[in-house]
This record gives sequence, structure tokens and C-alpha cells, in this order.
Amino acid sequence: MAEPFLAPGIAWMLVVLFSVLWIALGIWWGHQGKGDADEFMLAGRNIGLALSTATLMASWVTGNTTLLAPEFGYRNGLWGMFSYALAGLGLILFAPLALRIKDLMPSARTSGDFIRLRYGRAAWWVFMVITAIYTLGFLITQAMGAGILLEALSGFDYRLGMVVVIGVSTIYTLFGGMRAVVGTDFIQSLLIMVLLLVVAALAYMRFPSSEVHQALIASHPQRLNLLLPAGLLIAWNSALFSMGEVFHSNIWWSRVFASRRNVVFRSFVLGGLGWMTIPIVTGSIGLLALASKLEVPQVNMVFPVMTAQLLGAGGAALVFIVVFASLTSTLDSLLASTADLLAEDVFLKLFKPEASDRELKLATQWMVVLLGGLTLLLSWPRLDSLASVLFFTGALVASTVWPVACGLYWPTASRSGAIAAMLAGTACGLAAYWLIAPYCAAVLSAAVSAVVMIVASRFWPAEFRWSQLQEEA
Amino acid sequence: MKRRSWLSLSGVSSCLAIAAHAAEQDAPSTPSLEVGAEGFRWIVYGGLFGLLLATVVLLTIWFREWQKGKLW
Repeated sequence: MAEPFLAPGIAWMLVVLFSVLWIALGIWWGHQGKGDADEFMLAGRNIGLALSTATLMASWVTGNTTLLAPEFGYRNGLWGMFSYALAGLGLILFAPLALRIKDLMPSARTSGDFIRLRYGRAAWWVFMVITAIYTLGFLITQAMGAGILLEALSGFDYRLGMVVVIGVSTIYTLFGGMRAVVGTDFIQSLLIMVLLLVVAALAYMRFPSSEVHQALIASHPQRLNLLLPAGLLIAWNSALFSMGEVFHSNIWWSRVFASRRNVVFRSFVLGGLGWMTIPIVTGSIGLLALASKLEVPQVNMVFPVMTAQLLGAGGAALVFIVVFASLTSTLDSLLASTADLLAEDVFLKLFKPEASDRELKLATQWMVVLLGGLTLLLSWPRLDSLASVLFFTGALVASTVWPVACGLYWPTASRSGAIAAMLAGTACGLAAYWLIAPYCAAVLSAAVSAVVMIVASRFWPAEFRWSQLQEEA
Repeated sequence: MKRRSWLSLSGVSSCLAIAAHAAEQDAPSTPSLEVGAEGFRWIVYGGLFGLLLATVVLLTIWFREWQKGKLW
């Protein structure tokens, strides 16, 4: 194994410091508010603009954003950076839909509520299978990413790093619910932004952009080519994949229900725009590493290697904090929103409709623990090809974009059309994944799903009344 | 969002995907448009400025909502 960037003693100190901080804040925030199920699942449905924007950004900044985006820049140049940054479009394009959701379903709790009320139980099952595969894939990639990254950065054993990150996220989510998730997300997003600013500013003070450009023109001119065909394809796949992820996932729907109506639209636009700057900055560090002919043992370690070389042990500590914050902020959101989905849609609506508010809150807490345990179990055997898992789920989630978008705006969007669109989009996306290239999966899936949805709504229209979405309240 | 916008986005992305894939398969020499030093400077420092702006805006909004007791 390569030499770690950070001495284990310093790494342990940082882990203990931030773990204690997140757990203490989580427990403290958990004692605020009314203490009912809505408080635990949606932080009282009254989050303001600052916390709403920050939680969107922090949840969308995964370990990949800080490590894969520099790799994209290093490997694919400008289009690598841009393609990763285009994932922010998912949040921006969801903004009008978020407002529509808030108006149509002010008392709902999950994305599953919408699909069940809008398209019926059969469509709900298809949707839940897609969302279950995506969520498990996301949880596993984040957990494995935690183990692999902490091992590379600090020499921690893979399983130890994974247990620490999942354990800390599970504990503060369990005690503090959505309020703890949103509160810690704010601090984590600020940490990530400020530390990245420091690293990038110091890097470009040492290597001015003109020198980097000159070196790239001399050695890798293709990295500066704006007409790179593969770059265009990867960029659009990234945008559509992110739309699929955001439009269907309860992570983002739960933020809509948790935020005040007058901040929902602005928080998604601001969150998306703010987030897009992060892969541009980290991606440009990848280009800088390429221009300075940096020796990189593993290409996904471009960012830590560059930072450690520029700033020494202090730089390695900064990277460690950024990665730890990125991982915990994404895992806590996944745990909380998936627990909400399972408690509301499966426990309450499927098995025990007469459950009390207290029983619903307890069920949500049990789901957090079960999900944390399941993630640990599934991530125990280590896999190193995480990117392929993510591209695979792209074929599934991109098929949900049009059923969700059309279902919110067109009364003619039918349940059979939605089911056919999700199934056909997924099938074609998976075929593209295997037969063409993994990065074509989301594009084909979304395109086929759109055609099916539009044709079905045009030729076999439904007559949906919007008031049916409010009957749940 | 309007139906036409969604359709346009779908159409554009599909056309781009097919054109890009076809171009990659068939054409041995693809067209090139390299970013100049000035453009590169705009991209790099624009990203940095954007991140700085996002941080300042987020902190400002937080401070104003905290003063009014409207964080949550």
C-alpha cells in the first residue's frame, strides 16, 4: 500500500474531534422542536433559505465531488470539469417542480406519497424497486468510498474507516433526525467551501493560470478542446443522470417538504449554482496537477497528492476534513430520507395505517439503525470499481424524470404511461449500458422514457384531478 | 417549467448523444476548438470567484435569518 498522506495520530485526532462535534450537535438539535414524527422526519417543515440551500449543497457534495471531479479534470480536461459541474443542473431544474410539489402536496412526507397518489400502487411498486436499487447503490458506494479514502489518506484499515463514518452518521441521525442532518449539513458545507477556497487559491498563487495553460498546450492540447465528442456525451449523460437522481430521490423531496414555501425555489437554484463551482474548482486542481507533471500513484488521488505537495501535512489535514465532511453530509441525508420513505410508505401506508404519531417516529428511528447496519453489511467485502455501480443506476433513475415531471404538470399523464415509461426507459438504458458504453445509459433511458410518456399522454390521456394529491392530509 | 422546454432539453440531449457517438465512431480526425490563455484564466478564476461568492452569499443569508430568528 502507498504511504498515507496524513500521520495516523493526526488523523485519529481529527476523526475524534469531528465525530464528537457532529454527535453532540445532533443530540442537542434533536431536543429542539415539538418532538413529534413531523419534527423528526422533516425538521418541523419550517427550514429557512440558508439552511435549506446548505443542506442541498452538502448532500450533493459527495466524496466523489472532491476526488472524482479532479480525476475527471486530469483525464478529460475542461470537459471533464464541465461534465461533472453539469450535475448541478439536476438541482436547478428541480426548482420549479419543487415549488409545484409544495403547492400540490403541502402535507405529504415523501416522493413515494406522490407516485402512489398520482399513478397508483402498481406504479409505486416499480418506482420503489428503482429507488431501492439506486439508494442501496448510493449508500454502498459512499460507505466503500469512506473506507477506501480514509485508508488512502490516513492509513486507516478499510473496514475501520467505513465503520467510523457510517457509525457517526447513523448515531446523530438517529438522535437528531432531519434537524440534526440539516444543522450539521450547514457546518459541513461551509467547511468544504472555505477549505477548498484556501487550497485552490494557494495552488494558483504558486502556479498562475497562464503557466498552467502554456504547459497544457505544449503537452496535452486535447484537454483544452471544447469540441471533444466524448466530453459532450459524458456532459449530457451527467446532466440527465443528475436529473434522474434529484427528480426521484426522497433526499430532495424531503428537503422540499421540510423547507418553508417561500424559500423552496430559491434554495434549489442557489444550491445548484453554488454546488457547480465546487467541481470546477476541484477539477481545475486536476488540470494543474497535469500541467505540473505531478507523479500520481492512483489517478483518483490527484487532489490529495497535489494538496499535500503544495501545503505539506497541513494540506493533507485540510483534505482529510473536506473528505470526512463530504462523506458524513451525504450519508446522513441518505439515511434520514430513506428511513422516512420506508417508515411512511411501507410501515405506515402498507402495513399499519392506524399507527400513532409516536409509533411512526419510532419506526423511522428503527429504519435509520437498520439502514446503517445493512450498509455496513453490504459494504464489508471491498469492491474497487465504484464508478460502474453509479453508471448502472443511471439507467434506472433517468427513466423516472418524465413520469415525475409530467405527473406534476399534465393531468393527462396516465398511470399505464408512467409504468411503461419507467420500464421501457430502464430496459433501453441498461441495453445501452451493456452494448454501447456505461456513460450512454442515462441519456438513452431518459430519451426513451420521454417518448413513451409523451405518446401515452397524447393518445391515451388520463383525467387526473389535482385535489386527489391532497387527500392524504 | 413549460412542456416545450422539457421537450427541447430531451431533443437536444438525444441529438448531442447520437451525434457525439457517431462522430467518435466514424471520424478519425474530429474538429478542435482549444481554449486560449485568456479563456482558461476566466474559467479557473471564474470558478474560484464563484465559490467565494457562494460562500459569502450563504453566510450573509444565514446571518440575516439568524438575526430575525428565522433559521427554522
